[in-house]
Amino acid sequence: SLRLQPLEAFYWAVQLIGRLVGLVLLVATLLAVFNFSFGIRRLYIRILLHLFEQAVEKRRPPSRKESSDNLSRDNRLIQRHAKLTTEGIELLHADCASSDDPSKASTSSQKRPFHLSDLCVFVQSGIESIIEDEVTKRFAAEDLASWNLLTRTNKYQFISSRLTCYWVLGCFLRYCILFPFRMLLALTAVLYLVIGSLIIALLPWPGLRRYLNSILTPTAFRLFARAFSAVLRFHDVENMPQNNGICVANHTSPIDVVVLGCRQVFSIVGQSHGGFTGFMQKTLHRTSPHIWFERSESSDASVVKRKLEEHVSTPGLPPVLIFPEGTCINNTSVMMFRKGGFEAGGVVYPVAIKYDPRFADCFWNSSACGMVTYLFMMMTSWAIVADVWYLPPQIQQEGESSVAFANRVKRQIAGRGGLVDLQWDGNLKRSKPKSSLQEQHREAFRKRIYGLSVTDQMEGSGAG
Amino acid sequence: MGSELSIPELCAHFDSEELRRLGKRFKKIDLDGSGSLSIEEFLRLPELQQNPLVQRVIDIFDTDQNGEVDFKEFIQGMSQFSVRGDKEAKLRFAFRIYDMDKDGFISNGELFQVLKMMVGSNLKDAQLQQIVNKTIIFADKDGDGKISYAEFCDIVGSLDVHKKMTIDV
Repeated sequence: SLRLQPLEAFYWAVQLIGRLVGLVLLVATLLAVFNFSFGIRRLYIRILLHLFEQAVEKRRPPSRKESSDNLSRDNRLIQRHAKLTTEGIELLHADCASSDDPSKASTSSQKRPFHLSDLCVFVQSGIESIIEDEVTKRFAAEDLASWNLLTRTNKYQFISSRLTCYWVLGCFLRYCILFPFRMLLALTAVLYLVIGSLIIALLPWPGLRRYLNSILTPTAFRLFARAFSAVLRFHDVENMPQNNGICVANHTSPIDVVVLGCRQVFSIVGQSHGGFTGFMQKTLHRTSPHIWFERSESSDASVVKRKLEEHVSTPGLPPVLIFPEGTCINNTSVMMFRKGGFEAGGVVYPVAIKYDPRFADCFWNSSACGMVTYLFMMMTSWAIVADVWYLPPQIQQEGESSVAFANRVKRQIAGRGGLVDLQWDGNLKRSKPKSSLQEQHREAFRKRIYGLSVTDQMEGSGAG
Repeated sequence: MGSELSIPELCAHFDSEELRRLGKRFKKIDLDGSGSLSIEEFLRLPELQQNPLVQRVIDIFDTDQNGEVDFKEFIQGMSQFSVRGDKEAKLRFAFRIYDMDKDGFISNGELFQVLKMMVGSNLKDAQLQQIVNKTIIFADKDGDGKISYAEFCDIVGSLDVHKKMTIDV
């Protein structure tokens, strides 16, 4: 009858859409399993880049400061002239130095009697660090040179109506079209992983379990990666981490695990969380050994070290994945590496991961938002574009301390990834620096002004 | 908190782009969004925390002495360091670091206290006092036992200190 027709049509339409979506998800899963790509995501990235270039033209003409910003990798606000660091006072760009300060030398090596002008370096570095300091800017999202049409990176300013139009369309595309689809894909990935791991865990043969897991986990991660529209470029794949090795990488977000996990199975070393993250950790643990610890335990470094040593010396176990910074940094720099992973005696495989900040801000500020909010923000960004460099394996040299080994690897990772190598502890995100640093500077200053005998001082102040 | 645009008379040394950057930076340091920077907020910058003279610098910024630095004080303070700021302003700032009670003179006690901040307990008080006395004797031309601003400029002015105290925002 006539009344049923519209209802029937409606049901029929819903069924059709459901079948289509199901088909697309199935195709995506198969593509992930066989690691095949139609290149749609790469095309999407190219279109976006073209769009961003158009956006840049519309902005105000670059001032002199911006043009030098674009040249420097590190996106500085000001040029630093004096820096207080863990190694002493650094004087840079000594075009402003007077005759008694040699360029680029730490002032602590120069001995001269106290002069009223000695406060200048402290004042200068103090003022400069108020405007821009090396450390806290690593705990916030990187500033972009040009707007990438996401209001979360740059507060919205009206530049032109064309750009506003693009932005509105972009919002619609990201929230209404891309996000629901990505959400479904992510759910598919989770289901695939959970069901797959449950099945595998039931099988009685460990060899078979391991083999099946080596298919299941990377393909699940690949599916996850597609859920973020990830375009990943892997370099120097011949250096990929081997069994019983220790893979170390710089840490920006939980997505690092997905990025690296696309290619091989890892035993992840990480803090055990609750909630969704904890659920994923339990799922992964069903099919492969991982090392999860409580944050309170991590201060007891010997526990982690023992677990690592056990893992590395048991043959046939997948490589360990460890993030020595201990916390997420904003992908412009590499901060202090904890020595834990470098003491266990295995072969270390360094990996550098660099995300392209134009497409998404991948830094996870765990004090600002939880995991689910973070994943939502990732899924409503344009895409995740990352470069992964596998560096040649390293072993601890004769007579090299673990700390020196860690720093050496850190320098390599920073160099390869184009990141700034910093000595600061990533934990400064949460806690204050040790007061001993201030004492260090005071002692250095004291040495400078009081290393001399009384007669030297009289001559010095006479001439000054 | 007023935006940069509501302080036209202050920005003699900063153009609008620089003001915008400084405003952004101010907001980043102002964690509780109160519109003024407390000492705690300043001290959350690790580089600043290890600076022996941090208290003096913040004290000079805080012109109304209410314990916090609002945006106006922030800009005025930074302005003295600007490339376009004059040598006089920079020398004044350096002078004020020493002149803790703002009476226009650096007394023996004030120089002692500031030097103690820079050296900590790595020198005995007696040794520190020796250095202070020597410095004052050398600088004090009119024999009043204190260093006036003019005497300070005589000693420090020739060293191009103002070039060392410049930031290019």
